[in-house]
Parts: sequence; C-alpha cells; structure tokens
Amino acid sequence: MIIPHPYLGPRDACEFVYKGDAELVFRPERVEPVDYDAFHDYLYLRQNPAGIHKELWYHEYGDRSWLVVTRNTQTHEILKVEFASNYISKQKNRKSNV
Amino acid sequence: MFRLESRGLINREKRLNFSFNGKKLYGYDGDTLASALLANGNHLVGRSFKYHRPRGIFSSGSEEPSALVQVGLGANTEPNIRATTIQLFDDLVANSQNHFGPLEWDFMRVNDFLSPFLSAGFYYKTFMWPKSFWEKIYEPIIRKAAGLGRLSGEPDPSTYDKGFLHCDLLIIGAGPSGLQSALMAARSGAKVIVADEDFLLGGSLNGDHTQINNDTGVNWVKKTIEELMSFKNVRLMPKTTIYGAFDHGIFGALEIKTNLERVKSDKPRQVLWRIYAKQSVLCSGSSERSLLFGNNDRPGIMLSRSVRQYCNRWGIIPGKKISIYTNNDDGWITAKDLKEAGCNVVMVIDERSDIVVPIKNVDYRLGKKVMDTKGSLRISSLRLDDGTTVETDCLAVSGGFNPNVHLTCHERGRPQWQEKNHCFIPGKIPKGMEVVGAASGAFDLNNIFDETSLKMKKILSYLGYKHQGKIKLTAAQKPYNVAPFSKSLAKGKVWVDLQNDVTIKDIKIAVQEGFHSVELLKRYTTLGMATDQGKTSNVLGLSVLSLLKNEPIEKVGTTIYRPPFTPVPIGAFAGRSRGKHFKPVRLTPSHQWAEQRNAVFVETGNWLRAQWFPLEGELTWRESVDREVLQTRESVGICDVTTLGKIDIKGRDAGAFLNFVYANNFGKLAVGKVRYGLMLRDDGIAFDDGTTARFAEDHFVMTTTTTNAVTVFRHLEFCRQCLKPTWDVHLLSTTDHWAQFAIAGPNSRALLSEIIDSKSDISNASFPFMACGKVSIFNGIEARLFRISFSGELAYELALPRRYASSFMEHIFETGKKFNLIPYGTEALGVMRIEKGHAAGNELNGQTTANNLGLGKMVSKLNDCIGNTMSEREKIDGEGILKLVGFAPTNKMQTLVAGSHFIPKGKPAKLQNDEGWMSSVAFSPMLNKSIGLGFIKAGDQRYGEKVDSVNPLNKEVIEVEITSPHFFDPEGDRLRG
Amino acid sequence: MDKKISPTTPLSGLHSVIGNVTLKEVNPEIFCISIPKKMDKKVTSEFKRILKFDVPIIGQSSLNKNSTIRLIKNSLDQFFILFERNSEVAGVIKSLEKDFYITEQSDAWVGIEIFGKSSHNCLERICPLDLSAESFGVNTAVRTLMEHLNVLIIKTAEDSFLLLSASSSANSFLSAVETSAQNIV
Repeated sequence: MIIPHPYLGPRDACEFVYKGDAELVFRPERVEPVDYDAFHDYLYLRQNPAGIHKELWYHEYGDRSWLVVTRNTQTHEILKVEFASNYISKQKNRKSNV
Repeated sequence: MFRLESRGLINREKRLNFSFNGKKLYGYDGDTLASALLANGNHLVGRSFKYHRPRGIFSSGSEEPSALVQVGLGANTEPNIRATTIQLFDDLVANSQNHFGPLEWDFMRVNDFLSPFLSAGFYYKTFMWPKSFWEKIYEPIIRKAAGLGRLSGEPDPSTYDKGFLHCDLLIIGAGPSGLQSALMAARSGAKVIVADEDFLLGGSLNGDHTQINNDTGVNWVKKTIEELMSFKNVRLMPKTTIYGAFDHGIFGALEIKTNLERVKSDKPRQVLWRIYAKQSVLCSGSSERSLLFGNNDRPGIMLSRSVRQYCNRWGIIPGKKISIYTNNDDGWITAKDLKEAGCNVVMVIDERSDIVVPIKNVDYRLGKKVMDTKGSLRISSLRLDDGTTVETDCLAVSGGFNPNVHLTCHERGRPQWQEKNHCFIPGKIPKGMEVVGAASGAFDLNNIFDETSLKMKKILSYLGYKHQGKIKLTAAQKPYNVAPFSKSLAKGKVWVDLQNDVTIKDIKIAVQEGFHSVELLKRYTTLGMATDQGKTSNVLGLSVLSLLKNEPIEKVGTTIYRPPFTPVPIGAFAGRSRGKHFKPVRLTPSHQWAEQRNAVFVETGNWLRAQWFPLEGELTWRESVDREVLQTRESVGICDVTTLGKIDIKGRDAGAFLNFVYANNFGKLAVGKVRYGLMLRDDGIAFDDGTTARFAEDHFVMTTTTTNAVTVFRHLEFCRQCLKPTWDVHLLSTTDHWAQFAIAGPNSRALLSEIIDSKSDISNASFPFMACGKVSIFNGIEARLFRISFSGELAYELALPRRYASSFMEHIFETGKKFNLIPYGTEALGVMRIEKGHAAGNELNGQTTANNLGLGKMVSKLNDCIGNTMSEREKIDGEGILKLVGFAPTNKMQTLVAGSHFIPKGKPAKLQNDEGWMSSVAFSPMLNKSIGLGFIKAGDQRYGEKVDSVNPLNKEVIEVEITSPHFFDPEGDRLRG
Repeated sequence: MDKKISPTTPLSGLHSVIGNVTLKEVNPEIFCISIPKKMDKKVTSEFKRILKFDVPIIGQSSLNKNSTIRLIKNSLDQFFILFERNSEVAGVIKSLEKDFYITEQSDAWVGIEIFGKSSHNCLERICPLDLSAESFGVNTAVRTLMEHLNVLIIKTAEDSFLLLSASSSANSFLSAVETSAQNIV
C-alpha cells in the first residue's frame, strides 16, 4: 500500500506502523467520580468495519507523525490522510458545536 | 539434427554445449533449453506427476505445464525449471524429473495402468486407515512417487537482491502493443519501464511472419528497441516477470540477472523489484489452449502456435510428419509457415466445416475431430472420428486463445466471458491499469495498434505528458475465428491439466460427488494447482464443468487468480537477508574494547552486549560471572548500559506529561533528581520501567528498557500527539548520542573522583542517592552523571558523548587499576539485580500489573495517568493475586530453574494446583546459593512458607522457601553510602 | 587531572570507491531544534533573523550562503541543523537556545556521503523512495527505511547524497550500502 502523507507525498506502507481505530484518540479523562465503564468501552470496544474506516498510522520511518487515515478496508482505497492533531481539533470543535 | 538451414533468431556462429540426462548436446545462442532439445529431436523430457506418463515439450513459453527439468548440479541445482523459458548457456546441465530408473523406462509407469484407481479423491478415500499410517507410511511413499524436482539440501550458494523502481508508466509485456505503447510513452518524455519475461523483446512478433508498415515484424521490433534504447527515460527490462499487481500501483517483478550460470558470478542471480507505477499498461498477450481428445498428453503433441514459433524463431523442424488439429484460423497459419519452411505437413484437421481453406497443397479434413492417439514415448498416429488413421510424430493443437488476464485479477478482479472469441477477458481492472492487445481479447493487429494508440494518448495526457509525433502502424490482415467449445464430452483418457494429471474423468467424479463449484473442483481434483497454475488447463476445465453442469461457462465462472504469475524462488523473496544481512546489529560504544578483552556477547534485541568477560584460566561462565559480581561488590566494576533507551523530554508541559505517562507521580520531582518510573498500559498491565532525571524545569531525560526503547518512544509520541495535542512537549531519542556506563561498587565514588574535573562535587552530601547533574570529565568533556543503582551498590551511571567512549574505556581502566576495576557483563548485572529483587523483562512480561510487581502503592490515585484507572479493577487489585517474591531452595545444593511452577506442599503437580511461576533465577555468589524471583498467590503474606518448585519438563521438584525478593542488603545501606 | 580522552568516528574515516560509487564517512555536528507551542508562528521570522537564510518546508533543507550550515525540517515542530565540525556556529546555537529547545544529536548519527554516476542505481537496491530529479530535487531531506534501518537521506547535488543513520548500527548500515554498490558493478 501507499499512504499519501499530507506533506511528504506518497510513501510505502513499510514506513508506517499501524495502531487501529482512530477512536483511540478520544480517551476518557479520569475525573471524580471515576467512570470505569467509559474506560472499559474505550479500551475494549472498537469499530472494525468492512468498508470505510478511520485508522491510526504512525510514520515511524518518516516524520514521526501520527496520522488518521481514512481507508476502505475492502478495497484498500485511501480516501483521506490527515495529522492526528488536526483531526482531533476538528472533531472536538464539531462535538462542542453539537 | 532437426534444425532448418537458415531460419530463426539464433546466432549460428555461437555454439553452446549442454547436457540432458548425461547426453552431450549442443544448441545456439538464442536458444531456450526447449528449442535446443527439439533441435536434437528430443521431445520426451519428463514423466507426469501422478501417473508417470511420458511427457514432452508442450509450449514455447512460461505457460509450459510439462517440460519441467532439474538444472545444475550439487548445491547449485534448481528443480522445476521450465525448459521453455530458460535461456541456453554454455555447459548447462539439465536432467529430467520424477522417474525411477531411466526416463524411457520409468518403474513408476505402473501407476498409469493403475490409473482407474488413482482418480480424484483416491488418496482421501483410500489412505484413511489406520490413522497412524498416514504420516509415517502413506504420505512419504505418495510424496516420493508423486513429485517434481529435488532440492540439493545444501545452502544456496547464489546471492539474490531486491530493489525499488519508480516510473510514470509500467508496460507489462513487450509484444506488438507493448512496444507501441513504449514508443509513444518514450517520445512523450514519460518515465517508462518495459518488462518482459522473455530474454528477447518482441513477443509474438519474433515467432510470426508479420508485416508491419511494409517491414517484417522482426525488423520492426529491432528498430523499435534501438529507438527505445536511445531514450534516457526508458528502462528496458527483458528477463523480468511482473509476477503480481498489488495495491496502489505497486508491482512485484522478478528479474533474472545471470540466468543459471551461478558458479560463474558473485553478483545476484535474481533481483526482486518492487515497482511503483503511476499507471500501467498490461500487454501480456494470450496463451493458446489445447483441445480435448483421447491420449492428448503424449510427447509430440504441442500447442500449434508454439510449433510455429519453434520453426520461425528457432529454425526447428518439430517433426517429420506434422499434423495440425485446430478449431480456429490460427492453426492454418501454423500450417502455412511450416510448409513455407519446408516441413512435411501431413494433414490439417479443423473442427469447423464451413470455412474457406486458406492454403493450398495440403491434405485437410473439415468438420472432423481427433478421437485418440497412439505412441509409446511419442505420438505415432492419430485416429479421427470417421475412423481415418494418420501417421504423425508431431501434432500441433490449437483450441483458441486465452488472454493473459492474470494481473488484472490480483486485486480481486474477475474476468468476463467474451462470446465472440470464446475466451475470458479482463473484467474489473485495477485502478491505474489499462489492458491492450491480445490480453484484452483483441486478436487483429491493426485493431490492436489503433486501440493501443487511443488508450496511450489518454494515459499520457492523464500523466501530464503530450503524445509526440505520429505513430501509425499497419499490419497484414490476419483473421481470427474460433469455434465454440465442443458440445459433447471427449471419450477415453483425456487430459485437461497436464501437470497435475487431471483428466475429464476426474472432473466427472468431482461433480458426481458434489464438488461442482469451481473452487471446490479445483481443490478436489487439483486442477490448475500445479506450478503452472493451470495456464493451459483452467479454461478447458471450466468448459468440461460447464458441459457436465449444463450451464454456460460464464455462469460456471473462474477461480481466483493470485500472485505470483509464474513461480518465484524463495531465495529471491529472501533477497540478501541472510547471514550478516539478516538484520542490523547495534554495537555498544565499548564493543571494540570488550572484543579485545575476549568478552562473550549476547543478543538483546538488535544489540550485541558483553555477557561476561572470561579471564584466562576460567573454565565456566559461572566462574567469570561470580568473580565479576564479587569483585564489583568488593571494589568497583563498570558495565556498558548504553542500550537502555534514552528519551529527551522537553517543554513547558514536560512534567505534566511524565505525570500522565508514568503511573507514579513525577510532578514534584526536583531539578537535579532522578526517580524510578513505572509505565503501565491503559489496561493496567505493566509496560516498561526505568528512571527519569530532571535536568531543568522543562527538561527531563527518561530511560527505558533496552528492548522496549522503540515501542516506548512510539507510545509517548501517541500520548503527545493524540492524547495531549495541546501540551508543549517535545521528544527526541538520544540513545545513540550518549554512551552510558554503570559504575558500581564501594569504590565507585573514589574512582569517579579521579576522572571528574575539580569543579564538579560528587560527595555524598552534595550528590546523594538519586541525584543527577551535568559534570565535566577528563579535562572538559561534558557528561551527565546519575546516582542510580541497579546493582544495589553505591553506584553511578555516567553518560558521555559516544565519540569519546572508546578512549574513555582505555583511560578509566588505566585509572581504575588501583581499585582493581573490572568490567562486568549483562550476566553479572542480572545476578546483582536478582540479589536486590529488582524486576526486569522477565517480570514485566506483558501479563503482570503494578500490584503483581509489588509496586501497587506507587500507582497514583489522584491524577489521570495511563493505566491507573483500570488498575483498580477487582481482578487486578483483589485478594490473593500473584505477588513478586523471592524463592530459595531449602537444600542449598539445589539449583532453581526459571519457568518452574509453584505447587503447594503435598499436592500433585497439576494445573488446578498451580499457584504461580519462577520468573528469574541466579546463583548468588554473595549468598552462595541459588535464588529466584517469581510470582505466587498472595506471596507477600507467605514469607517462610515452603512450596514445591516443579519443572514440568524433567519432572524435577525442588522445595523452596518463600522469602522477601530483596535477598541482599534489604535496607539499602550500601547504595546510600 | 591531566588526561585527555580523544574522539573516534563510527566508521573510522571510511573512504572507498566501488565501481562508479564513492562512499565517504562524514561527521557533521547535528543539533535538533524543537519548536515550542506558541512559537510555531514565529519560527520563520526568528530563524531568518538568527540564521540569515530561508526556512525549508517539511522534507526539504536549505543552506546558508557559504553552504556551511544546513537546516532540515523533519516534522511539524522539529528541525535538524547540520554544520561541519569546527565551524563557528556556537553563537548561532546560543541564540536559538533562547526561544527553542536545542538538543545535541551529533553522536547519535553516522554519516555516509555517497556520490558518483551509479549512486542512484546503488540506492535503488535499498531505498524505497523515488530519487529521480523530478520528485527528489537537490536539498530534499527525508527519513525513510533502508534494510530495517531508519535513514535520513539528503540530496546534496545531482548524483550525490548524504545518508544519516543510527551510529550504533553504523557497520550494518555501511555493509548495506556497500553490498548495493557491489551488486550493481
């Protein structure tokens, strides 16, 4: 596979390390009273769709950025690649607007 | 000789000697092994897989199912080489495969007479009982009888390599459409790679008499290649097979560099390329298929176009009495060319009756079928359905052409049926690929040229290049009409798959027994599963299945095409990754120094570390290790600990970040201090540990364990970028910048004082236990000093720029002479940490929690950090959980074994009585006995209790006493001294 | 204390010629510059003020007038600055230290300069990147993976590259490059 890095252009997947579902960036915070269920869900409940999926990839042999890659798991088509930090701020804005 | 006087693209000036089954023969430069064998009248080249039937050369290309030979001798030998693709070279040694005794008189041919019993599913049904016989008796015998070539059993002396290529356009196949595409792309300036499996570019044009633009096809090829070679933006790659099409325009290619002249070259014999292509054009042409009739597998029965190519390209006389059996117009072209070359064509048989016979002076039969053939080691006659018998020693068969659609299917594409030419053509094509020429189901050259031109213009403009000049190619008209598959099943022993010995009868049985989906049929009968992957057999098999199921062939469908297109040697996949190239080796800064002192090294991850330093006279490793421990604890020792991961953490929020990633509190760590840190995963399992030092308000230096250095860095980057993206934190691995040495033992401070420049004060008062700071050593070299101890001694870790490490080692040992300074290795390091009860990799094994490790109290309850919340789960925090404790044998003479399990006294050693396991053991020279660390239920409340330590491998049982894990200096007086 | 310790380099000053490829060990001083949050908007102007040359974009590098200092942008918030040993840049580093996080990295790396007509063909065997002029211009500087090793590759001129890899695996890295050069001869 080739992952088009937002700045560095097309890069072979061998330069990257895969982590999984991009929802992992939304880790619950521990505040009293502690919501153990939220942590449980964060850790163990993931999406694993056959189709379009947002995933975390780390450009370990590159600029060391964590990327959110939108990929079709059936065709391997890559629809979007963005820095995790950008993705997070966009998602948080969206959530706070709701 | 069976060679024509003048025809062919071979260099008759250059004779090449070779041998086949010990017989000395010769051919010419430009021959393949197959053409050279045919030139010597040799059709019989092997025995079939299952029935050991005589088999000959069937085709002239990579689709060859039968002519598999063993090439080379000794360690250089290579099995299953297709004689049709290997370029002849001087002193080539080839041998036939799969026979016992001589090829002409194979003892296993008895299988042929037994064939009624050996059909599909025979093995599954027969060798069921007794069960134990399968592995030891049946399977070895069957494997021996049903086989291909043999491996040498020796290491492969050849070298292989890999590489990466990039292009705008990859052209797969250098036949007419491929060369035309290449020419258009080359002239436009696009970066082009042209790959073809043949050593001679030109594809079918080299074997046909074609006219292109009033020139012969062969001349047009020559001129085109000359022009292509003049372009800098073109890379021509003959002998290169594109074996797979992968995601996003990545192709796998195998380039044969030195053919099989292995012994003569130290350069890589084959190179496996990964080609990144923005666009690709598949010009892979077509493969001919056979027709189905009785005993259609005898040597001398060949594909019609191949017979023509042997005659035209290699000047071969394929037989003295050649017959042709066709269902399409192409068979007649073979007849015409053979006749022109002066060969004796005894008869052309065409299944079609309503055709205009295109050539004169030839005996022919229209609307007739071949029913059966005779001959022992080669065809001698054939019989038609009207009873006519024709004597023949070479039967050229054409059942039509299958476009080579394989690469269009590697991304799960399925071919479609084309009714007009009765063949499968590409269906859904991978993104970025175009298919032209015969591969797309077009068989008329003029059409092909026109269509290629159109498609190439589109591709070039998509790539941002402009098509330059005019390329108008016209060729002589060549009609192609083909009859549909026969509506009745052929009778007798009719081969569908020549390589795996699958006959019509096998397919019938499979269907009878319910294996009638194509995928099941394939697996039950092994149709198309041989090394040729059914290139000549699959579509024939589908036609039979379609008849048996009474379903149109497009409904029957095809099996899935997968890479590789043709076999790729495992050696090529391994590339250069063997021996010292298998993986990189990381050396410590003192490696050379240690090597000179005969250190024994151990691999830890990619690192090589000194394990111990044997002195003369020391006979066992224990002697050396015991001495290193005793001498260090007595005076002072030095150990290279550079391999521990070092991560520089800077930023305004660095303190908060450490507080978050470590389970224990780091917020209040003072500048100039070091603290032990335990890192958990978010599920509460211990991930890594180490020390972190604070050099400034916004600057920390973290150490990780050697093996986790990379994963911890990755994890911290995840925490930084994904979990705390607004924090000001910066990470940098400095592992390789700093050489770091542990200097341990009661004299360590005295030794350091000798090398530290006077301005740095390291007295106990100003530099106490867990202090850190910048110091200068050896007259102005800036270094970092940490007062930390893994050994339990008064100890320091000194970090200095790597460039000085070698010189530092020389000097410090010079200085250390008066203290009896010794180097110690990882083994002594391990012994001392077990004596001190420190957890290490064996204890942080991905199953243990802070509580298990006895570090539960450290875990923060107040702030949010990775792992603390889930650490509070009942199963992790509850009563009776495993605790890390010490173990000592009640009989001091006994030696503990790591991995042993603990069983309460008086209970049998069974899983339900298992209470935990021994994780680390060592012989403690200080206590003069074997000691161990391990996990046992509620261990911290059971000090003094005796349990059995059971080694299930040798059933040894050692009685051990549960103790504190801190065997040596439990109060820690030494390290604070 | 009157003793002095002396420096060594990972490849002991390698200089070898294999066919049309020349390999030479180089040992630039390397410092890492991390950009604090909130400084990211001012980086360009500050760098320009202190370094007096243009700041590159990610994956590129730029040089000062005398080509003695090279600035590489590694990632969104990190730069490497490379200069020849003994050149007078201590002052520059000091000025940068005021607003940026500076960490010395020199000894973490081994530097191999590879040049000559076949250097491109040599790298083809280990480097997954497209090094052709169109997509990898002079001064391009990116990290990638070669034979399991992290490598920072900088194109210094046509047919000339500076390869930086971890100093601890210097020998393995050299042998990967040498083997490639030998395999293409």
